[in-house]
Formats: sequence, structure tokens, C-alpha cells
Amino acid sequence: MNKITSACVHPIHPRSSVVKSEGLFSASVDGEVVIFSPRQRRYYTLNSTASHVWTLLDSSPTVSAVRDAMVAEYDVDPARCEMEVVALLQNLLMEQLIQVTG
Amino acid sequence: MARQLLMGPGLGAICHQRGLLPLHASAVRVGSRCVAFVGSSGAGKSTLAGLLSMRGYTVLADDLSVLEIREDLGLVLAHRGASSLRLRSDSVEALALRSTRAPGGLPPLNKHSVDLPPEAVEPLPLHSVYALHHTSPGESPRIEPLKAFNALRVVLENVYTPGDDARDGMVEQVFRLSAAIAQAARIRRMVRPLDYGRAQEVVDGLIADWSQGDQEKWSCR
Repeated sequence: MNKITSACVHPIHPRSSVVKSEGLFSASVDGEVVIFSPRQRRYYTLNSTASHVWTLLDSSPTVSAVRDAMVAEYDVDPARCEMEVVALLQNLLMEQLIQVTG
Repeated sequence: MARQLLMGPGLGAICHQRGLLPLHASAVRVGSRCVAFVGSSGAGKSTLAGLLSMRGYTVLADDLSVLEIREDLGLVLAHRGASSLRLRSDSVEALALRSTRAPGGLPPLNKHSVDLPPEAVEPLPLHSVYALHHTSPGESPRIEPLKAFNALRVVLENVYTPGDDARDGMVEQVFRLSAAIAQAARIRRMVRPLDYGRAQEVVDGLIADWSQGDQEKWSCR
């Protein structure tokens, strides 16, 4: 319940800035990111697109910056891309893998 | 006895301190590289190493393989571990190896030690890791590639950790080194029936698999 509440209080929107949660370990194996959360004692796996977004977050910590980077690299409609990035970040937020900073 | 102790929890702790990864695995040399076998107790790690030794492959480790991750080279080096194999008595008979010593120290029950010729072996790049599983009699042996998290999981589940002494930093180190291994080596799941009559078929399948592996991951590293 707690997870859902926090996601509702801080929903991701196109102007959101986010940061990866502290204390996570992540590594890329065969092009897919695996994240280990010691606090939750749980592994998370990201598909190849989500893995790319996860990597982009280090240099592009806003929804719009991630969208622009994705659009520059892939043949994808910007509006649709933004929607999918928001949905992904919403999921990451619900799992407490990222925090909203603004 | 001294060797048993050396290869036990003590070595595991020292490995972690030195940034090496102790993997609960047997390992054999294949040309200029090596392959490792992981699995739960009784899965057949030592038996397979013994079968391969009868085909002329040098056994590098029986139960514990010490892995050194060379991120600069993009590969993993396996150091020589134990010099004797511990086998269940039925495996010993199946392999027709001579049991030369009663179990000493604290090995699992019903295991014999089989001495292997001592041979100086340099640390060798790890080519493949096979996770051993049994299937019902009558089924054919098969080998399946594992990728991404499934590959990482095989490594993580077989890391030798000294007790519950999981200090801060060690968990991260184990995760990071395990990921590097899953990335650098081919990880495979090997399923075969517990049937010594089909042991040679299993070995043939393994040899075919790691030979074919030369075309894959390894070639670009």
C-alpha cells in the first residue's frame, strides 16, 4: 500500500526530474540491466529498452532528456516515446528504484 | 587434512577479501581455457570432472573454483583449486577409478577421494559454466543457453560465502563479480538423466557444446 501511496503523491510527468535510489547495485548482462536492492532483498530485471533508459538516467535525469535521447537514437514518435518513458519511470518509482527530485 | 581446511571456509573468506570469487564448482581444462560445472550437492560436479579426466582433460578444481575477474581483459581466470576429486561410492565404481583414501576432515558422507596427477596449471580463462540438473530416466540429455538474469542467477546461487558473515561491501562485490562472470563466460543449463550408462553421451554433448561455443561470445572477446 505504501508504494502505491508514494507513487500517487509524486506522479511522474513530462517535466519530472528523477534520480536513482541510493544503495542499489546494478549490472548489465547480455544487454539487460539487473538491479539488486539490498534493502528489499529483491532482484529486478529490465528488458533491453528499459535497460537503455536506466543507463540514460545517469546523464539525462529528466523525462524530457530521456525522451530526446531515445528519439535521437531510435525511429520513434516523440509523443509516444514520452508516454512510454513516463510509464516506465512510474514503475521504477513504485518499486522505489528511483526518486522524484522535481 | 590441511588441504581440506585450506579449501574450506578459510579460503572462501580470503578470496572475498582479495576480490576473488570462490565458486562452488568443479573445473576442467579445455585447451588453453577451462569450463566449470556448478550444481547443488549431488548434482554430479565431481563425477563429470572425473569422466572428463578419463578422456584426458585435466581437472583444475573439484569443489571450489577460485575465479579472478579481469575486467581490463574482459575475461575471467580460473585458478587451480583442489588436487583430488571427491566422489560418491557409486560414481567411483561407475568410473572404475581406484579409491585411494578414506574420507578425511569433514567431507560429505559416502564420498571417496580419488587422487589426480599433480600438474602445474596456470590460471586459465573461463570459457563456459554448466549448471547441472537431473531429469527423469529415459529423457535425453540437453544443454540450453542461459542469458541475462538467468545466467547471472546461476553464478550468484553458487558463490561460496563464508557463513552468514555478509558484511557491507561483500554483497556488492559478489553481485558485481558475478555479473562480470555471467557477461564474460557462456552460461549453460545441462539437464541429463541420472544414468551412468549414458555418461559418455553426456560427455560427448558437452564437448560438442563448448566446441560450438568458439563461434559465439568468446570470439568477440
